[in-house]
Amino acid sequence: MRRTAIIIAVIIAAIVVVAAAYFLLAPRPPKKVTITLHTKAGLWADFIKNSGVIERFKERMLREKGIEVEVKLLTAPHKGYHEKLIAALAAGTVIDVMWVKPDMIPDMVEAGYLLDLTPYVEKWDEWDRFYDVNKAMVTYKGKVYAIPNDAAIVMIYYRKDVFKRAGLPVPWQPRTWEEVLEAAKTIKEKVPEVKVPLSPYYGGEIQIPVYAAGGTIYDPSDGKFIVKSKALLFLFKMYYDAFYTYGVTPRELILEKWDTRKLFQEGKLAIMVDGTWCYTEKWGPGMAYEIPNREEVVGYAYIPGSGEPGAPDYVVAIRDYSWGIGANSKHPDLAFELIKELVSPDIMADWCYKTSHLVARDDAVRGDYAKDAFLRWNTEAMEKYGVAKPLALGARKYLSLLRQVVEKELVGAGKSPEECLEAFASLVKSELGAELVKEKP
Amino acid sequence: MTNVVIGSLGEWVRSNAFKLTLALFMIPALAVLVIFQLVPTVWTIWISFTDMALLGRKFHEYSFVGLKNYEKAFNDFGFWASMRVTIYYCLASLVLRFLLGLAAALYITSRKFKGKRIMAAIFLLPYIIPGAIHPYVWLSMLETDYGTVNRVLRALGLPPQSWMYERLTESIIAINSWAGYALAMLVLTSALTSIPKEYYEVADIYGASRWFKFRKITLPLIKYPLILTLILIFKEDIDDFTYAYMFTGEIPYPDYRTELLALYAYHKAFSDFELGFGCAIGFIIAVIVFVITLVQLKIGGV
Repeated sequence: MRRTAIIIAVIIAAIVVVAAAYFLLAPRPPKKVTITLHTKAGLWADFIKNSGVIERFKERMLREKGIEVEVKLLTAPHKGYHEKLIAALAAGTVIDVMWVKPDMIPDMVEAGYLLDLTPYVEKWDEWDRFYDVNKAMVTYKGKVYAIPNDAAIVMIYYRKDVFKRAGLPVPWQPRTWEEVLEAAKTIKEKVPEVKVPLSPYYGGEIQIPVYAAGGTIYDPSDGKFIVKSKALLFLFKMYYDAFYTYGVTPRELILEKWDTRKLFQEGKLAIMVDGTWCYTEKWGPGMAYEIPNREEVVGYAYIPGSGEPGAPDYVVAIRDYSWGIGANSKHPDLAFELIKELVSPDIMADWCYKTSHLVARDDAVRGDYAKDAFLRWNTEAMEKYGVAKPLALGARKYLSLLRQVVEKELVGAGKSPEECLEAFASLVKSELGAELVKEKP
Repeated sequence: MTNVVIGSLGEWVRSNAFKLTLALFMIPALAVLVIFQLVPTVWTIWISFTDMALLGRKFHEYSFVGLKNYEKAFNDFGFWASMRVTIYYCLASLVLRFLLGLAAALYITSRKFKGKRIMAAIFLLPYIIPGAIHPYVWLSMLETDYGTVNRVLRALGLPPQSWMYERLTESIIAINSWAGYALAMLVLTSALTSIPKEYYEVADIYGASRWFKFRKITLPLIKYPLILTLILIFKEDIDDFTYAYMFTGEIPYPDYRTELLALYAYHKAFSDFELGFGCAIGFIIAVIVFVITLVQLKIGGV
């Protein structure tokens, strides 16, 4: 009886040992995880699909962490992308990695949509390779909330062929805004088929003249927005001159939302303020508004300062795009690993070269990107004259109100610069609160 | 035997068990209505009384603000500009959709014309094609230099118009009328076919003209369906969104030329992220539609 019990115990022990050995030693199937990547449809999503970045990431995760990762690409159209992203986040959709415009970071952080990436970048030695200006654009209240993917500047484009027909010099670099307006006036007189001699602003960076006049829109020392200043008055005067005093910008350009990039392609617009990306994304080979002999036709210049004491010689506005991680992500570590892959030097250089954007890290200046004269000029302009919008809560609203006053009061109703300044100050006060604004002599 | 069965069935129908069974059968439909209709409606109304935003601190830290959003709407330039555009859009669409629909219905029900079934199918096509495709169909028609509409105008010796810019409001009215006249056509066709032929035969015997018959027989007999059609069209157009959105995008025109009320509510809620204010405008639209529906029910004798 005792012997039988011993045999049974030995058999059970053997089974347990074999089972444990099998459990511990046998090759296990990799753990499967799905993470979501939210970006713009078309050019943006296609690049991700075709660049091999997802495959590279998946292989690395399998190799390094033994995790089989599935990346689910979620897309929204370019037009209204952020509206759709915010609606999805507000509805509680879990988004691991998302394409984010830095202007929106403060509002997104306050709403609780973005994960603080500071602990991640502190442990990531490649973070030092990113340019300070780009890092500043994703840092809010001392914390990093996104990783820059690319940058761009907003500057002046002009049609060299139109300039030549008008008898204006090429290449051209205006030193004051009067020179810009005079050139547009000459074109209006000498090349009448040009419908729009000058498009004075790009909607997303309407504040540029404030910086051109040596001013600013926000004072970080007290966290207040500036609603009245000489620089702001210069902004309204500059736009007023373009639309009324010189009459080189038809009001319909704004009131009827004319497509400036198309007009420029057709040679019906001579001088325009717009971004780096237009050069390839709009006018590049195979793009919607392709300009066949682009290098010979498209000229570019810095935006001149106001000429007032204390104003810079030139300015260009810096913009960029970045990758953030959803605050409700269940796999933030994997999401950060995916971002590392998306902003790796070769991928960043490839994206920036193919879509005319500027790299956000110094080790990405390589390959075709490094050889491109237009991109080199842009990078230099960004370093020398670049100004970025403040990353502050309320900045988005402030700029939206500025655009509203320019388009409704100045262009629409034809109000004087002084009246527009008053209207703007009272509007910002009522929308942001009097305690958040101030006047600057 | 039959009487016994009927009697026991009647008893069961009058019993509480039967009422309970009926109630149980209604639960799935009621649940769908409550979850997908009532809860979102109540939730929207509640949000319209708060300062909730989709971005910033107000996403979490919103508070009850009473009628502030409604007060803001009634003092808002954009709201009234949108209201003006919406009324213009609704009235112009109403006239066009109704007249086109009536003409199509008269054609289909007429005894003189041939190929009416094929024509009826063709008339229905715009109504069947998804709304999002309509603007694309019309883009080539409305193009300033080479568009069909301007070519026709030039051929008639009339000045071409900037349909995509200056006349954008009229363009979306045209698209909406083209896409929606079939509703009037369907309702009025059904009303017209229900008129007894004898009335017209008697009128013919007395030598009545076509206009006289239309005025004295057709119109009085289709009066109620006709009024209902007008109300239905107006109701459909007052909260219209698709065409205006497709020609506007995320930023309204500075003069609000395409900013219908529904689009204005959308822009406020999802572009400016002021959800509370957007919901208030949405609720104002809902009240307008509700009032129109009451009128419709009253006329319909429901």
